[in-house]
Amino acid sequence: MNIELKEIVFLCVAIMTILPCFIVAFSRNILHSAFALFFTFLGTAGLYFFLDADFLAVVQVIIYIGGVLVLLLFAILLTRNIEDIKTTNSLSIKHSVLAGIVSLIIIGGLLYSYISNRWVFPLRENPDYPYFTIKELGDLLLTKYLLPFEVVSILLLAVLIGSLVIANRSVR
Amino acid sequence: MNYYLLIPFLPLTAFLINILFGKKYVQERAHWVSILAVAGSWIVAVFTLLKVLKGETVNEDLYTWVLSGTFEVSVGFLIDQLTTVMLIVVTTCSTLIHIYSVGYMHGDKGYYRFFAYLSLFTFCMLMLVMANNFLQLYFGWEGVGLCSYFLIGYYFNKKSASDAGKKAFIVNRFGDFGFGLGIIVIFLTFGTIYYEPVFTQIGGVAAQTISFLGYEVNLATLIALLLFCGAIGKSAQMPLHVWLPDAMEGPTPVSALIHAATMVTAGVFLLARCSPIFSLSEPAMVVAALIGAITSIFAATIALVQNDIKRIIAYSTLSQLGYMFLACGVGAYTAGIFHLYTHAFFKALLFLCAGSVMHAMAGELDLQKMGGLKKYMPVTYATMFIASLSISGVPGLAGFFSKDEILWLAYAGPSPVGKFVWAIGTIVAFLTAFYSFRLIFLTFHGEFRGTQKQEHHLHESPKSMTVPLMLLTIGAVASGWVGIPNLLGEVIGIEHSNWFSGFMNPVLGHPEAHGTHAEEWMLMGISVLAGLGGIGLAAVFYLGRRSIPVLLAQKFGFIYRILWNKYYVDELYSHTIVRPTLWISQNILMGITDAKIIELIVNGVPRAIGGVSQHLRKVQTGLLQHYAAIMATGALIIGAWILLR
Amino acid sequence: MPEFVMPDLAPVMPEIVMTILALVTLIADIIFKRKETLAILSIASVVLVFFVLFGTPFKTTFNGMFIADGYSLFFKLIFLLNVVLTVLISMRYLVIERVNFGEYYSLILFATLGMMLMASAGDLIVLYLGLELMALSTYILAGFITYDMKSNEAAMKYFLLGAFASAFLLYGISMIYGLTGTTDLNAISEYIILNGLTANPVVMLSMILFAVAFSFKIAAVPFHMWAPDAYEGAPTSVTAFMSVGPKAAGFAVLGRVFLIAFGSVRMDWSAVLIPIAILTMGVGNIVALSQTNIKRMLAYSSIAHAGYALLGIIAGTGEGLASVMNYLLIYAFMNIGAFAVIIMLRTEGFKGDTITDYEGLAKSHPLAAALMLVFMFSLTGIPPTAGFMGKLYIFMSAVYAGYTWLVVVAVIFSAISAYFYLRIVMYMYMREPKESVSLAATPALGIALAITAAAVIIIGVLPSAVVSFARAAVAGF
Repeated sequence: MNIELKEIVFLCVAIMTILPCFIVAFSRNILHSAFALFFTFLGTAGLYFFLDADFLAVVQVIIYIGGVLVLLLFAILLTRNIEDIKTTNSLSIKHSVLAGIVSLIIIGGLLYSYISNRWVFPLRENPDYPYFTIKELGDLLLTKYLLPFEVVSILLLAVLIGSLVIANRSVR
Repeated sequence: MNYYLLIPFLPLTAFLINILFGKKYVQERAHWVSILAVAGSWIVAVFTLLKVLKGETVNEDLYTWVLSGTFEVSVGFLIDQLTTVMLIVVTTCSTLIHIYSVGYMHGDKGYYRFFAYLSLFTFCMLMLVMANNFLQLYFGWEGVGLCSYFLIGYYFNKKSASDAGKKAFIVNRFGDFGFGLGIIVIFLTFGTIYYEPVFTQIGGVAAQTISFLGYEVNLATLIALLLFCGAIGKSAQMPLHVWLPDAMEGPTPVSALIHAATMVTAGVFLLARCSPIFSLSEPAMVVAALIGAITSIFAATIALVQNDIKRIIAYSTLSQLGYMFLACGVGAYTAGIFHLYTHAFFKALLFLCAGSVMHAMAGELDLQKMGGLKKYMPVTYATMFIASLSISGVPGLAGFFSKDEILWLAYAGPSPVGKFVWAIGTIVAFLTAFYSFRLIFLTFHGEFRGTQKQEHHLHESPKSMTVPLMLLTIGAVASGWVGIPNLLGEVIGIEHSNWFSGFMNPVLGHPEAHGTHAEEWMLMGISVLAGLGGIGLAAVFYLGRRSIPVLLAQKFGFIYRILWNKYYVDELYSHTIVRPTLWISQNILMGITDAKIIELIVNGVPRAIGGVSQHLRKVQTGLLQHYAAIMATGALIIGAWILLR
Repeated sequence: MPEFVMPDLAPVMPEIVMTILALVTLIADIIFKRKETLAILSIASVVLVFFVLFGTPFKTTFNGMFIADGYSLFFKLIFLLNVVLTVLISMRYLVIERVNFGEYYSLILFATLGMMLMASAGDLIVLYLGLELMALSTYILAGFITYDMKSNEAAMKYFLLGAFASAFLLYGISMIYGLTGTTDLNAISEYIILNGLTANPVVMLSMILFAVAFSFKIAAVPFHMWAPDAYEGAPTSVTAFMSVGPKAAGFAVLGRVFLIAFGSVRMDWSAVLIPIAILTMGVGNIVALSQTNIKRMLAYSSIAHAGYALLGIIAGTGEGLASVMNYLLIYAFMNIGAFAVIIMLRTEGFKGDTITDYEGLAKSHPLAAALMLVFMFSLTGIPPTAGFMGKLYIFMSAVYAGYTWLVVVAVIFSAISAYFYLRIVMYMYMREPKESVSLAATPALGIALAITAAAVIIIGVLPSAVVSFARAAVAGF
């Protein structure tokens, strides 16, 4: 097996994605969890780059790191007695066994599909596949997918109104 | 323009106005709305008659109610000769009885409600007779039934009245169940519920048999008998007759309109309408003739000894309805409808007269407490006397012609039981004359037997009541003149004097009769003698020697008691059906299951479902995780089932 | 590089007008102090859209993503009707609940816009976005009484489970896209037939995921769990709104997706829908028996009605689809009518939402009781009300499609349903009033009741107009 630089980078990115997951799940300090999540998100964006999905990778950074994570940190910041969260996070034997079984099933499924399938990479073999997807996506959004694009903007407006309704009233 | 639509929809409009605005706005003026509407219907009905006389019949769908595949239900109208006769009968009686009610119901608390129901009834009855398909007929059928229960139980504070309403409802369920089943069989057989295709195709299936409850039954007979079930329920024939006498608890105009002139004759109308079906089934015809004959003599004998003025007339109605069934059973549909038509006038008149008497007697019904009323209420007396002459079959009056035609056709027709039912019919004619005049003599002649207070109160009824009486008297006398037997017509020099029979010919056909003129004269003589004999005997008993009936009642006490107790039919039902059911429920089932049967049936099933319900509702825990888990499990099960099947 | 071509906007005109008017309503909220003005404005908007709708040509635009046809027209009429009636019954109710805010009307219009897009969607992406627009607006509406815990709970449960269902839908969409490479309904259908994929497990799996997601929207068992809690907790006017609109929209997409995209695997999806339909009718009707809260009872009733309507989809014929549309229109009238009576009983200091609150209503308020009687009769399916007609057509279409046994099951459950509907009638007419109930009757509520009651009776007596309209609408499907 010939290990290239690309593979090494990929491994690093993969480890950066997976390891913080354990901290997110098992840490008793919610602040630690939140910061660990940052690395997971970043790693996921990196994985998208490896899939030649540059647009998705950028969006991942903007939305999940720039939006979701910041929101999460604000929420932690503004919540009193955040430390109390520790006491509720207990795991009984029954639940652990159940979770273990479910996890095993998922792992089994993944392994099965890994072993049984012939893995091809049609995207790489496709000569039409663009080097940068952002421009192509932009073209498509304003031509073929014009209607969904417009509907999404209305959808966001409706959500904005809705969040205002809830937030505004609660504060009042 | 469909001018005839006005006939049913005018009364419907009146009903809506009265029921919606009656309490607040119309109030004491409710009768104007209803009377104008019904009178309007009458005018249009007469107009329709003129059209039909010219040969213009109608058979068309107004609009399609349901159309799904081959299943079609429409509101459609069939106006032919039979319908027209019914229209005239219904609108005429209804109009006069509406007017009569103004006086009779004056000052009643639910005045507007009463008129609203009367109008609704008229609407349903008209829809019934004008239908061109079985489902609309059924709609009208249930509609008139519903109005009938409302009006029987009109004085709902009186327990006997609401009980009578309930009884009518339950007894009619039995008949209507068969009727509904009959319509289903018709639809399954012909794929349609319209009269016309059914009647034209019935000949093709008459020979077919189907397996019904394990027996091979002729299809035509099955359909005919199922429809007949409905007819005997509505027309109160044996053995479902028990509700009609009790129905007299309703206000008298209701008895006259619904329980004498119109609704109860719907059964006869049904037989005539479905004559193409019945004619193909000899068993059904024989059953109809026998049930009619038995009911007529059965009711007539009971009427002999009763003392309640309205009940006597009610039994008389039963008996006359039996006549009509008998006529249809021997194939003389025309004669049956003819009798229906004349009977409507004189029987409505009898009831209204009885109502007038009750009005004067402040609600008293017992004949034994009346007597000598003739000098207080001359109009009532005269009209009731004429009506009684008519029902007794005195020559020249309406009842004579129709009754004579039935008896002659029964005797001379091809029916295997013709001679037998003729004999019964003749006896009934005698009995009818007797009890009718017993009523007249006991009410109007002799000395007053009531209290002083009652005697002081005696008065003739107001104009609004007596005028309809007089108008109906015209009908009771003259309505039969359209059907004078050809035999008599020749004598008085009118050719084809039985115009009615010719008129109905296109719908009901011409009945077969094989007999000589001599025979016909003889039969006519016998029935006239029977009628006059009955009147004479009544005169001897109740005008002459008042001791005779008392003596007879003592001597034949056994028979008297049987008749007085109406052959114990109510008791029979009570002992064979009602009480055993109750006894089983109270003793056996309570002993076994420690619970009452009524509760078991009425509450048990819902309770069982309710139990399931209580358990199922616990699934709804309110916990979000559970909901999501159930959704996921559901998706998993469906997925597994579809992919692994 | 693809050229930008201006798409044909004529078929989308109703949606465009609706968007503009929803925005106008939003702005008007700032200008007008009286929120009744907004109600009238939104009704006027809907009436305008109604007229635009009838001037819209039947065409496909946006590369087949948007279909304007008779089918979508019929459903849009139901949605518009739903808005008018909901707004009419909301006006006074919002004041009583102290949540008379202008956003309410904008959100209702946005939700309706979502439904309209769903009905016209010719592409799974538009379908999904329309569904989300509808759902998100409805979640907010369900939690509109922000100070009330029950309303919050309703919104929260509806939202979380709705997101769960959306995940199913997206999963289904991604699978079918992965297989066929398209999200266009017609193209999916063609691809499945051309490549002989009618037994393909991915097609099956994706079909099942669609069935699950749509079953959630129409509240079919076992994906109904949100409905009772959400219906009970949400403001009553919103309950009326969401028991009709989203359900009808769910049926619109169910019909379109299953009959077009999955038309070639009809036998398979009817095998999925039949048990769902039976369970839905069974659970809906049986659990409704033991309810004491009338809103909750109507929630279960709404579940049961979805079960009846599913029979028409299962029939899989044009006639079946037409009968479903007919049924949904009738259901809109009778259900909102019933909710209008419930709202009428809600006054300051009186909830009026338990069944015992209806005791003796006939004595104190005969007209309200009579109206409730009409709606309960119609929901039971007693002729000559519209409810009978709706059920009759559905059952007939199922019988003609060969599902007689299923109809027998439906009739049995329908008979059970009589018990809880008529119990309300019994309480109103046979019992003595316990406490004096005053009504919050307003002209708007009166208009809504008049429209619904008249429609229930008129459609019951003269159903052919609506039915033939539905049939004509399906003919161009």
